[in-house]
Amino acid sequence: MINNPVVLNGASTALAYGGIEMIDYFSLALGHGLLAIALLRLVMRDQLDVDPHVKSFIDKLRAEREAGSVAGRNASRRQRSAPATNDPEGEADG
Amino acid sequence: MLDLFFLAFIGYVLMLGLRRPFLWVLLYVYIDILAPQRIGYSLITDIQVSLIAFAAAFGGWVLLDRKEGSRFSLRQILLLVFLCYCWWTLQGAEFPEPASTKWDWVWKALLFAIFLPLTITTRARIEALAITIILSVATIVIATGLKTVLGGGGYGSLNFFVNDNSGIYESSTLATVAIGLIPMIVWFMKHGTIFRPHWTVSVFCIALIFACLLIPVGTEARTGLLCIAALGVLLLRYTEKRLVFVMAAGVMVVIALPFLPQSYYDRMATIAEPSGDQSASTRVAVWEWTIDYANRNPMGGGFDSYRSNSFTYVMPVKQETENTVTIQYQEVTEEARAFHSSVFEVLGEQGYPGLFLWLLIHGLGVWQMERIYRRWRGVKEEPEAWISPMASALQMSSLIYFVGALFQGIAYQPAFLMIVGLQIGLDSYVRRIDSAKAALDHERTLSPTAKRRRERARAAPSDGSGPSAVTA
Repeated sequence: MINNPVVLNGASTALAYGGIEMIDYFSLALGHGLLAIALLRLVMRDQLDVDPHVKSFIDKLRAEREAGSVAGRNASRRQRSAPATNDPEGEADG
Repeated sequence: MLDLFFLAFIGYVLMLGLRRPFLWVLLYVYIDILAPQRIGYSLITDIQVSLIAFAAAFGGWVLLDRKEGSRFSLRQILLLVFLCYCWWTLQGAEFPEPASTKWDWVWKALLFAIFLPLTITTRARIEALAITIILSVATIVIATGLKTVLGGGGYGSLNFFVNDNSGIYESSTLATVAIGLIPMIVWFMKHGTIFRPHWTVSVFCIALIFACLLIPVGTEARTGLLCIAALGVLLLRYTEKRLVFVMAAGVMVVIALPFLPQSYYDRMATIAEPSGDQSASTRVAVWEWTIDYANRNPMGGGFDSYRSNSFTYVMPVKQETENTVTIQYQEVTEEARAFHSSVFEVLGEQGYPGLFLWLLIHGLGVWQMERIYRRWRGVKEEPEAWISPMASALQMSSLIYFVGALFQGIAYQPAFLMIVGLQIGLDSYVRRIDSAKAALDHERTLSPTAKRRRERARAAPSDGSGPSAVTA
């Protein structure tokens, strides 16, 4: 098989040799199969578009700013004064 | 049948991209590296798959992507300046026709390298791009490695999917790319999240690394051997037991030697004896000519300016007749010898300004990766532990590319421009983390009075026009 090498490219060479090496078929199938699985897994991951690690910092920053603001303090005070009506646990994460 | 297989795969990725348009970027990467349109026979050769993928990638990013964290970096600006400079030298190219043929693919490769980092905004995307590059190259490498193991090979005689000796399907280029990707394959064994660390992943990665190491053997590309040597030297930095590593490498070489064919020894011997090999000896002559040419044309002669070279020299030519071997010194005239080095390729084509830009683009990458490696070294937390090893892997890829590029004209090789894109993407990503961390730390150090003052300052302009916006 190797001593009479067969090439993949071009209609003329393909016709001349009448076939394609099994090694090439195997390699193409393996590479594309793994790529297909990898891409499928990527499609199902939200992290592809929104990075959870960066987002966690932004969320923390937002929470810190809200906790420090007058509106944020008022909101948390309101939550504390009426725990039974809104949140059975008493306090939501700020 | 093969065409349908490729078209089905491309259709599959296009479909998946409807949900996550970033996958169209990966589709272009796959097409640009593997070139299925050149492997196929009929149907796929008539379809502009590359153009379709690029239009989808760019259109998807412009219209559908969140673009959160996209930023234009210094290296992208340098790439843009380099692209414009290449266009400028094209206008006065000494050989306009071949120059425009080369420009046709160079501008696309450079433009994609500028565009690519804009899409690399998350860890998953960094990994996705890396795995797409690796698996696309792996498809070629696995076939080539298997053929080498099963007895094929030889300089210029090992068959790839495409046998036109261009792009990644040129033996020395493939050897450089394959060796350059080894550090990233190792990274996937430890830090991959698409295929998580598992013994099956390790077995595949080790087999793939072995196949990559076989490329310089199978193709008998001397540059590949130098790249392996460079990889060995670079790995010393990250090895704790250096003496054991050196000894193990020596033992492996001794074990491997008996399995190498005689033709391989003959070919490698010409590294030390360039005068006996036409390809090697003309290199030196071409490089000297290029320096002279660049001094006469400091702003560059445009693409393919090497076509104006011609030299006559005397070299030994071996002739075997029955039992006797005679060596005669003959006068050889060479015309239009290629640059055989990326440094001289850029120098001859783009002159000193182009060479400066090219070196700056790649040199900055090595420096940036070093900076990231040192900044994140020793971090153990899972969300950040992968950063430092990725930076060192990308740095090694760059340096191996440099070694390979010294002996072949691959200055605009798309696969390596994608590595540049990956480096820029990683740099932007860690900058985002750093700036988010710095903002959070700053917030925590602010006194309540300072926070109240800031709040008042924010509220003041929005008085009477509704509630003030909350910003992150």
